Amino acid sequence: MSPAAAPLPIDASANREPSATTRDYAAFGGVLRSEIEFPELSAAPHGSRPDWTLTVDHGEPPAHALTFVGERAVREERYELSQFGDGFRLVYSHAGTFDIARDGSSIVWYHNRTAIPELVRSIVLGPAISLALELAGFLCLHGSAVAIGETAVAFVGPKHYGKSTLATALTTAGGRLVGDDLLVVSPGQPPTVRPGVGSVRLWSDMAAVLPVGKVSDTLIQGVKTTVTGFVDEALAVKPTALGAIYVLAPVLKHSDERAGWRSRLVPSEATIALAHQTKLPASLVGLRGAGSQLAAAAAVAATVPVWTLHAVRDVARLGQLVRQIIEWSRVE
Amino acid sequence: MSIVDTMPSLSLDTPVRASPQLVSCEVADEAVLLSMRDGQYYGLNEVGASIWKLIQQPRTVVQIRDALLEEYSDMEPHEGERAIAEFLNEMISFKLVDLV
Repeated sequence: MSPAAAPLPIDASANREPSATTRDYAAFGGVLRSEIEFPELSAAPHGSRPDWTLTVDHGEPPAHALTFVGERAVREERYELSQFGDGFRLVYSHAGTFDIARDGSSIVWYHNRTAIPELVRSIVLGPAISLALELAGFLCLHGSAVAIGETAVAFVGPKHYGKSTLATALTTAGGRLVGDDLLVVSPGQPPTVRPGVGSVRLWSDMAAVLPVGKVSDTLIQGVKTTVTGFVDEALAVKPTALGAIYVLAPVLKHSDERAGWRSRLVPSEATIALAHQTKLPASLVGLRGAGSQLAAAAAVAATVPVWTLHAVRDVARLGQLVRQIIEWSRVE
Repeated sequence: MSIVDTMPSLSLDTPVRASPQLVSCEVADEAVLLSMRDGQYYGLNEVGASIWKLIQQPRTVVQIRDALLEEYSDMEPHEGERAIAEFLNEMISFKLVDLV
């Protein structure tokens, strides 16, 4: 099928059972019907209605009239987002072109033979589905979250700040993993966080010391590995109200005796802190998209306490920090 | 001499308005701005947020002062004028506010 001759397949598969070439996966609180296999995702319940469909088109991307929205460059990688009549086009230098319907319900990947499958999957489960979710009104943050009792605590911050480590440690201490890497927050009242993909990505040194389940890759120093195999009881399966958001601020272990401490951010600081951690940067989503992100971040920050968590970088004190976070969540 | 007299770019009667090249939102009584020019975020306190609301349309320092005097009855007019001018000059230097 050439998408140039037909609208994006928003409704075409919505009410059908998955075909021989598609599978339904549970992800981000919804169902992804995909022509690409995702070994990192669990199967959706039989008979589920898809929230998003991912199709693969082996033709060239259609020549839509495109309006530039924004771009992002990270070392040799480059993303560019444009808008056309029926949706948005995301072009990623290392995996090709993705067209995303205006309502976020369908994603078409234009097959690129040179693309590494893992990279294509990471774009689908990262920027592409983040855009689809933001078009549906969600706030997509770079972070991790764990449910403790009836509420969830979230950790946001740049790479290497310990988000996944804390989420894993809290999960192994009795919490339920909500999500890792991409946090999908509904800015309603109360703000809730949707369950993610049921796995975490840990740096090899942490994967080696934490009591985690199944490590899917060989541990290589300086490389992240996917940890799966959490028991059902350790995974959140429904949206969970956000009780607190921690903006991580690592502290060198020799500078303080404690495991960690926190300080509350005022609403404007909290909004800025969250807006800094959106999965899709403002430079990529443009003025209108950034405005929507900022409004969503403000709505969350107005309701959910946002703290700077000064976490001491010391594996020996990780358990103490986890107990402290659990204690904080119990008194709030 | 008023501080605005020393600043050639901004007089009491110069209209200013919020730059269109940014997005903003209210949060509690404060405001947050994102400049699309450089990707920087800026937080405004309650008074700054009030000024920001006023300059969504072109306004002069005098007009802003008069509006704030109604909102903040404890504000002293001359000090208020000085603070507004300083605030606007800083915003102009960050290209968050345009001279009209």
